[in-house]
This record gives sequence, structure tokens and C-alpha cells, in this order.
Amino acid sequence: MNPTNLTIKPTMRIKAFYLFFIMTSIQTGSGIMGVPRYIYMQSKQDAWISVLIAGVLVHIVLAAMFAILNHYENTDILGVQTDLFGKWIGKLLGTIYIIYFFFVLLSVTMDYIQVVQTFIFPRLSAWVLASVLVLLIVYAVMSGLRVAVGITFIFFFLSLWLLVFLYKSVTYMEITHFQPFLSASPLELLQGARHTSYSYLGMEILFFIYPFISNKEKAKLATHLGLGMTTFLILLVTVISIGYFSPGELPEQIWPVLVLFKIVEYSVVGRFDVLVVTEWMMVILPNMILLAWMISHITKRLYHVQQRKVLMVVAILLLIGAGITKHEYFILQFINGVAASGFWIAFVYPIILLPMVWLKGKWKKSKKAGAKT
Amino acid sequence: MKRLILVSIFLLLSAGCAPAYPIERLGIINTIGVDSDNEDSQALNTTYVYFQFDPNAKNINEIISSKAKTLKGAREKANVKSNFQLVPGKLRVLMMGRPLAEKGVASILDTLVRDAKITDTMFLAVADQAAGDVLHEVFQRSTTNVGNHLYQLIDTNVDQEILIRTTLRDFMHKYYDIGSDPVLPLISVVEHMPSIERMALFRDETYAGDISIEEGFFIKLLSGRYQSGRIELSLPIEEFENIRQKDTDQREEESLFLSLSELRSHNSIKLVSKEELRFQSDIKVQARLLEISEQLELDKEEVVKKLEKAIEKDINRQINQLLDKFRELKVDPIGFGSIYNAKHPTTQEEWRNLLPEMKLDLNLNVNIIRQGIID
Amino acid sequence: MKKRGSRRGKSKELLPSSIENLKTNLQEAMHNNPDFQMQEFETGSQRMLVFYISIIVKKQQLNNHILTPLLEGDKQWTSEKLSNALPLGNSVAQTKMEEIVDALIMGSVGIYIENETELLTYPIPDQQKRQVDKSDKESTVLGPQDSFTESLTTNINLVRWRVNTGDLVTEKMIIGERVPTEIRLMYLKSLANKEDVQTMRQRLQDLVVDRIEDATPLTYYIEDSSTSIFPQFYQTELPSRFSYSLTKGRVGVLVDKSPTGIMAPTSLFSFFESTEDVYMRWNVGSFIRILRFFALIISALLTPAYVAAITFHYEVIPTPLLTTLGSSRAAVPFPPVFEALLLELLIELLREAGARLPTKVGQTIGIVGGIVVGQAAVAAGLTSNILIIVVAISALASFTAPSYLIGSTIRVIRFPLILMSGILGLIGIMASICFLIIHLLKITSLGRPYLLPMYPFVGKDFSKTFYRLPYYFNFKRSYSYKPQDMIRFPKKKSRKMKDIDE
Repeated sequence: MNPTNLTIKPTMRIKAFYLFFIMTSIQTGSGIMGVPRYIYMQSKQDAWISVLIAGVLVHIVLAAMFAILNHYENTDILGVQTDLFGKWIGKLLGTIYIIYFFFVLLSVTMDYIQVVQTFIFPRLSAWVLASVLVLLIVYAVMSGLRVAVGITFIFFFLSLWLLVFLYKSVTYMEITHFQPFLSASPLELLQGARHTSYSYLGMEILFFIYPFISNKEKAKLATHLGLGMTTFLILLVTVISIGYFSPGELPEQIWPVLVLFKIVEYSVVGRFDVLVVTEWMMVILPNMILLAWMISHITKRLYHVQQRKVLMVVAILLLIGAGITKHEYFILQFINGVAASGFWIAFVYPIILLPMVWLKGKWKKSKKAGAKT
Repeated sequence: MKRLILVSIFLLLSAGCAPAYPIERLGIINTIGVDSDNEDSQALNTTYVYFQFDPNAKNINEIISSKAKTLKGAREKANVKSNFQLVPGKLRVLMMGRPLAEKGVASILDTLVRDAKITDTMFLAVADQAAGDVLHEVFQRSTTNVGNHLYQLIDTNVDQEILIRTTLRDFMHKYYDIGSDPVLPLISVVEHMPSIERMALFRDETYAGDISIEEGFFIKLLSGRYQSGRIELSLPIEEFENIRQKDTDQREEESLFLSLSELRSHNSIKLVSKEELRFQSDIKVQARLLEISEQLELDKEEVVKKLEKAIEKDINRQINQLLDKFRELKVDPIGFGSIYNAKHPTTQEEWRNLLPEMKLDLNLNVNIIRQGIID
Repeated sequence: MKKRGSRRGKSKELLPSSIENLKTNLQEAMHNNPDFQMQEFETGSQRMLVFYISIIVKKQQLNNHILTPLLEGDKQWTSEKLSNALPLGNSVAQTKMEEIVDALIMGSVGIYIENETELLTYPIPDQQKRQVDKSDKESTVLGPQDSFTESLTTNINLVRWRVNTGDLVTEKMIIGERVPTEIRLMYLKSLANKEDVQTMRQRLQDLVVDRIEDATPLTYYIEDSSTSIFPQFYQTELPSRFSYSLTKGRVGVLVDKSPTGIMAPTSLFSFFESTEDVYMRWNVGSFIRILRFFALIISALLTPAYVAAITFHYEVIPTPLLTTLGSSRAAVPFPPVFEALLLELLIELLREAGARLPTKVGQTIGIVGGIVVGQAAVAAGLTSNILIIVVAISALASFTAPSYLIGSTIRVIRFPLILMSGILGLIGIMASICFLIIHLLKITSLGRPYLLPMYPFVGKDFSKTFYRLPYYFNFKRSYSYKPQDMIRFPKKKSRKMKDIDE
């Protein structure tokens, strides 16, 4: 049961290079659409400092995650947990991960459906959109991690061009919106940093994907760069949002990043925001596919259930969950709930886990030394 | 897998496809005129100009009016009168009647901003009478496509930097910004055609007064930068008496008229002293002298310098006049308040009270770079 | 069955035999074939039998090179002497009836000298084949114009002639249980990836089928995913293209009786490459290649985008276009999806009719269908004239693909895309694109990912796939398919920049 060290077939391994895209894609999904607003509500015009603080903290968490993983030969968090806490608590913690990932997946789906309903099809039933998304997820996850990573990689580039069209809102920015400089208190800054957590969720994937990496020596660089890219993206949209929106406007926007595209207009494309919302499917799909893959993978690791069957169950639950929710306030609250729990699971937990791993390692060593002498 | 696909397809079909809006069945609203009703102060009189694609109709535009408490409600009511489904996705101009603007427009604009279907790049304008009357008159009397006409009227003038850009986004932005007030074009009907004669100043959301287009030039000079602006000036002729080339031009006039074009300006405003509420503005202007009513020896440096000095003096005078007007009306279209706010956070009300005491030191530097193809 | 078995048991004793005996045996084995001819000759004291199927041997060769030397002068012949004396190579000494029959069917002439222990067969088959001709389906402006014919020998000749190196391996295989067909597996020994060669060989050897109709159906038997709509092996009728791929380290298969060569592994992008890009200057070639990728996108997405915009997203249409679109749509009684499907179907009908009809009539049909029907459809208010333009452009774009197979794939993909855009608008299109990309990521060609070099990402190969660079950048072969030898030619020393007027 749960061997601490995993052996992965060479054909199933992926290069560390792709960790960059996995990191960026799983983090930039639905969160980034609204994140400037939440940070701004806490730390006002200094929101961008909050983003930087959050970026630094997240890098520390990531380093902690690497420290945990490198303590073992080739394992994922499930192996670590079993090693530390024994089989049953390990299983319980793993199950918490499953449930948590499912809720993240659900929140992303609901959020995107809501965006589509707001911007494009106000009267379209959530069932239709949910089933389209679920079908795509199932079809992709069916072929396993390699295809999931491929989707992440290709969709990253297919959606990156959206950034170019932020240039128009950049020209509308006003420097006075950033002044007076540093007026937020350190507490407010930290509060703001905490509110970025929903956008940073997903970096736990490293805990599960790490055994699949073929050239581990390069994994650190790629992952940190990926995280840096996420930070850069969040920083970019936050800075543009602060400059573009008036102090009174920004807290009222649910998806400020999408609204930034509303002023882009061309002689061939009358409205750009519609295209952006459509294109956003390519931003969130890798996110959802990776999450769904993780859920099926963890369940297989823990309970030895066929990944296929897990996927079916996840798909049906997701379809039902996303189909029946209708109220905006419920969705927002749900997302806030996920964000809050994600904060503990994704960021605090690794930090707590690290000293335990160290202690255990020390204890083992001393035991060995004791046995020898 | 197969079963899931079947279930999903079933769901897709049972839920039906997305509600369609085939364009031939739509009345695509292009321009809206909103007025407050004379009898019922709560109600809005709304006039819609929309495109309709009827193969038998000879005019592609149609106009319809309705009355309701809200903008959305008005559209529902108008829908009942039209054989097309009225949709707001291509709304380009919203024109508000002056009486309504005097009462405040924030609630109307808020509904527009809230609707994701409405573009942020649509123009706002104020009519100097009831907006519905303007639209009706132009629609009935003129042969032009009234919806497009209004949009292009504003658009071309913004492009040529005659008007300040006044999109929905700009208005809301200035409205929400502390210490900055919106300006809108004021449209009147001249010979059955809409024409922008003046500009409406707003105090927050309410109409506060109006200024001429020429005065509007200085708002942009102070708050933004010109890429290729133009201005017409009249300078007192006495100053140029000795350098005038009388032999070629015998006309006797009281003023020297000149027009500067391809005017580039750069401006920076600083708060110099908080206590005195003193701002300092450094404006650099580069322009081409295109037209001048007198023959001056413009190839001589001192003549050009003199001319530049005179222009600076005149612009300075006009700006101060305009600022007096702003102080009197307690409006701040240039946005001194936001500069103040950036240094010393304040509120809209506080700034409103401070505004009349505001002072501006103007450092104007005019530079004439070319004079056309003949000296 | 039993009888046959007993005869086979005796077959060791088939020879030596008397001429009469052999005659009856042969007659029986040939099922009294009316074209089977046996001629008895006597030279000196010897009796000999010459037999063949008359319509598949070259009569002239038979007379000049076999019968004349055989009967000239009264010589004493033995089989050994005979095989040395006749000016024809590859004589086969036969003893078994089955093999003799097989040889006769392949166009051999059998000669038996009475009481010898062996019987000699000389293959002089008369195969009807057409001349090497210009290619119709994959015509190029620049470069070689010849195309494969139905004859395997000609085809191998064409390839060998182009790739005249001892490195070229042609492995012979016979496929088909009932009707055997000869195929050749070709590759460059020191270049082609061994894994690829082995995979291809394995697949061909493992194939059990009664008969392969042509090279194209053969690919359907051995490709990676037969449910996919995308072709996974490249098929060409250009020897130049075939040999170009061989020299790039790919594996090729030629099939007898088929004018099509198969190449693998291949990626989606190679279907948009033409050998012409290589003959062009690199910058012009790049432009044309990128143009083809654009054509692919236009062809697949233009009509669906039209349907989506007209049905759901009026706000995306720019205002000036909106009025023209609206007024042209106003008279059309159908919903946009139906209108678009109708017109796409019309174009497909025209294409199909044009392909089936004789060339001259086909052109007329094209003009009548395209211009007259199109005009009339607009005049009758069945379609909007803008849609005609849209559909025509997308049809045109689909024909820019150098491979006919991928062109038809794109044209078929368009229909579900149009349907999806009619159901869910832009979201439907986007979902379909996502689906297609996921699908493309899933399929492989000879075990190699189909989207190489995009995923797995091989940035160095971009200059060979998506655009082209001057030759001195291309001193290496494509990394994606791991050829044994990477270097095409030694890298030039960095050329010293000359100063102006130096």
C-alpha cells in the first residue's frame, strides 16, 4: 500500500520544462479575472505591493514543497504523508486533497459559466455549458497526463496573445491612481496578499506531478519561473486595473480583467470582450483538466480504483454541481470558501509539513546511528 | 464514456441551444435619447434610433419613443411598439436632454455600465433641448442616417482633437475619480442637422454650465496632450504695428488673426503648495502657423519671437478666464483635484469647497516651427 | 483435398518425367486455361517442352531470346547448359508443381528438357503500364513534374534514380492472403530511425488481410488510429516528395499496382509542406507556407464564424458591415445555420461533380454551378451574397493544402463546426477547437506524436516546419524524428562581416 517511492514508466514521464506551463496554467484560470478587485479592497492603491509580497511568500512555500519532496527519492505527497503519519491518516489527508481539488474544479467551472452567462448568453442554461466543459475534460483526461500537459502547453500559447490587447487599457492608465504611495498599513498589505491566494491555488500539483518528472534537476528552475510568470501576470493585471479604473469603480467590478478588454475595438471586430470571454475557455480548460487528472490520479493511488471510473464519477458530480447552481452570490461565496480553505491547504500545510519531514529524517538517522553503535 | 456522451448530448438538446439573435430579426439600437418627463419627474422619456433590416423598408433607420421609470423598462415598452426585437449591443451614442442632465445622470449611466452587452466606447452627449426632440427633428427633416451621423459627428471631432473624448468609460472614470469632473459635447440642432456648438460641464453627475468649443481647447491643453490640435487666436494689432508689412497689405483691422495647426503640446501640472493651493503648470506648445491675417516678416527671428510672446500672453489670458469660470461653477474638468488627492487624500466634497481658492501658475512656452511653404 | 495431398506426396517424383506426362500434369494444374500454351520441340534426339501463358509474356522476347537460341543448330541441351546459354538472366530451376504454376502466373516461360531432373522458368512478364506522367493531384510549379505510376518497378526505378546511394534499403514483403501484392519498405539505412523502421516493418508483417486494394487502403490498415478523421501517414504520388522524405530519415512504403507512396512518421504540419517550398527562396517559401496555415484556419473557421456572428453575436460585427450584412440577410427565409450548410453542401456537390465528370465537362459544371447557381441563389433570396463570398473563400482555402487528403479532412470538419456554431455560437466554435486540439494531441503517427514539433516542443525544428530559413541555418536534420545522423552538412564558419566598400 502506498509505497513511499514511485516508479514511473519512462513513456509516462514528462520533461521539467513543461512544469513552467503547468504551474502558470493551473494558477491562472478563473482567479485572475477578478483578483485585482479583491486585493484592491484590502490595500487600495498599494495593491501591487501586496501582489509582490504574495509572490515572495508563494516562492517560499514552493521552496518548502521542494524541500519536502527532495527529502525522499521519488515520491508524491501521498507517499510522504503515509511515511509520516501512517497509512490511515495518510489516506485521510489524501482524501481531503481529493475533496478540495474537486471543489476547486467546481468553483472554476461555475465561475466560467457565470462569466459566459453574463457576457455572452444571459439566458443560456448552465447545464449546456457544464456538459460541454465536462465532455472536453473527460475526453482529455482519458488519455492521461501526457495529453493533459500537451493541452496545457499549447493552450498557454494560444491564449497568451490576449495580453497584447491589454495595451489599449495601458494607454488609459493614470499615474495619479497609484498615489499617494505606500499609504496602506502593513496589515492591509498582508491582507491584500492573502486575497491573492485563490489565484495562486493549484501549485499543490507539484506534490503529485513531481514523480513524473524525468529530469528533476531542472524542475526547480522551471517551477519557480512558472510561479514567477503567474506573479507577473497577476501583477500586470493588478497594475493595469488600478491605473485604469477609478478608485470608486474597481471595487464594483466583479471581473475587472475582462472589463479591461471592453474598450478594445477594431474595424474588423466590433467587440473584443466577447472574444476574450470565448478565448478564456482556453485559459481555464488546462486548469480544469489538470485538476480532474489529479483527482483521478490521487483516488487511484489511494484506493486502487480505475482512473476511468473515478473520472466518470467526477464528471457526473461536476455536471450536477455546475448545472444546479444559479445564484451569483452563492457562487461568489463558494469561491471565497474554496479560496479560504485553499489558503490553508496549499500554503500553510507545506510549511507545517516541512519541519515534520526534517524531524522524521533526523529521527531515522539517529535511530540508524544508534543501531550501528 | 459512450453513455456519458449520450447523456451530455441529450442534455444539450433538451436544454435547447443558446437563445438566438439572428440579426435580421433585431432592431439594433444605435442611439438613445433620454429625457426627464415634464409631468412625472420620476419617469424617463426615451427615444431609440435603431437599425432594422426590412427588405421593403426604404430607410434602414427607425425611431421609436417610450416612457418608463427605468431605461430597461423603457426598452421593454418600446419593444411592444416595434416588430423587431430591440437590442442594445451596438449602442453608440447616448444623448441626454439638458433638463435631465441638470437633475443628474448617474443612475442612468449606472444601468449602462452594469450591462455587459453595452460597450464602454459609446459616446455620451447632452442635447441643449430635449434629446428626443433633437433625434426626432433630425430623423424627420434630414435624409441622413441619424444614428450613424451623430456617432460620426462626435467621433471625427474627437479624432481631430477638437473635442475631448467623452465615452461612457471616460465619463464614469471622471465621475468616480476624486477631484475630476466630466465634460460632454452639447448638441444643438442647426438647420435640421445636429451640430456641436458648445461643451457641457458637469459637477459630478449634474450639468453645471457650458463653455464654447474654443474654451474647450484649453481643458485638453491643461489636462492632456495634443498630437495635432488647432486653435484660432486674435491678437491686438498694435503690438505688431512696426513690423507689419504695410506696403503689401493695406487693410486696416483692429486685430491680428492667426490660426495655429498641427499643434503638439506637452503639459505637466504639479502641486506647488498645499497651503496656498497653488498649482504650477508647464506647458510646451509646438505649432505650425498656417494662416495669418497680416503680412509679417516671419523669416526674422525677433518677429517670430514677438509673435510667440503675444500668443502666449493671449492663451494665458484665456486660460485664466476659463479657470475663473470653473471656480465660479465649482467644477474641475481639468482634474486639479486628482493631483491634489494623489498627494493629500481628500474627498470629493472637501475638494469641491477648496476649489474656488485654487491658484495656477502657468508657464507657457509657445514655439512656432513652420509657416507654410512661403515666407 | 485428399487427391491434391496425394499428388503433392508424389510431387518429388514429378520430374524426371516424359513430356506427355508433364503436359497432362500442367494442363490439370492450370485448370485448362485457354491461354496456356505448350509447344513441343525436337532438337537432335531431345524432346523439349516450352510452355507459358500467352497473354502475360512478352512474345518478342520469347522468340528472340528463348526460342531462337534454343532451336538454332542441333545442340544437345541439358538444363545446366541451357541456363548458361540463354541470354536471359534469373532463370529459376523448379521441381515443384505449385511453384511452377506461381511462376507461370507471374509471367514466366517454362522450359523442360525431357528426362531432366529440373525444369527452368524464365520470367519475361508483359505488364501493361502507363507512361510516367505529370502529376494531376499534387501539381507543382517548380521542380520535378513526374509522378508514380501503377508499376512497382517503375516506381522503384524513379526513387532509386533520385536517391542513388547504396544506403537505400528496399525490403520486399508480400501482403495479401488471397491475392498477394508485393510491397517495398524503403529507408536509408544509416539515417532512418531504427525504431520507426522496426515499427513499420512489424505492422506490415503482422497485417493479415485477404487483399489490399491500393496503397491508400493499406494505410488505413496500419495507421495508429483508424477512428480519427486526420490522415496519419503522408501519401504522395510525387517521387520527388517521396525521396525528399527518405533523405530526411522517414520510412517509405511502395505498393505494387498503386501510384501512391506512403511515408511515415508524419506530423499534421507536414501536410501543409510542399516540396515546392524547398525549391523556392527561403523567404518566399516561408511566406507561402505560412499562407497555407492561414488558409487552414480560414477554411475551417470562416463559415462557422459567420454563422455564430449572425445568429448570436451581432455586437461583434462592426457597424458598417452590420448594415450590409443585415440587409442581405433580411430576405433570406432560413436560419443562418441552415443557409450556411446549404451553401457548403452546394460547394461540395460542385467539387464532387467536377471530380467525377470528364475534365472538359467538369469545367463547364464548375462555371455553371459556381456562377449561375450562386447568382440565382442570391437573386432568389435563398442565401445572402456575403455568405457566398465567405463559403467561396473557405472552399478555396481548403484547396491550398498540398495534400488532397488533409484538404478533404478540413472540408469535412467544417460541417460539425458550423453545426456547433449554430447551437452555441462562438462558445461552440471554441469548444470544437479545443476538442480538435485535444484530439490532435492524442493521435500519433507511427508512435510519434502528431503535433511534433509543437508538442512535445522541439523549438529547433520550427524553422523546418512552420517557416524556412536560409540554407546555412539548416545544417542539421529535424530533431523531432530522431534520425541516426543529425548533421546534414558541416556548419559554415561564421562568415566575417565585411565593412562597407571593403
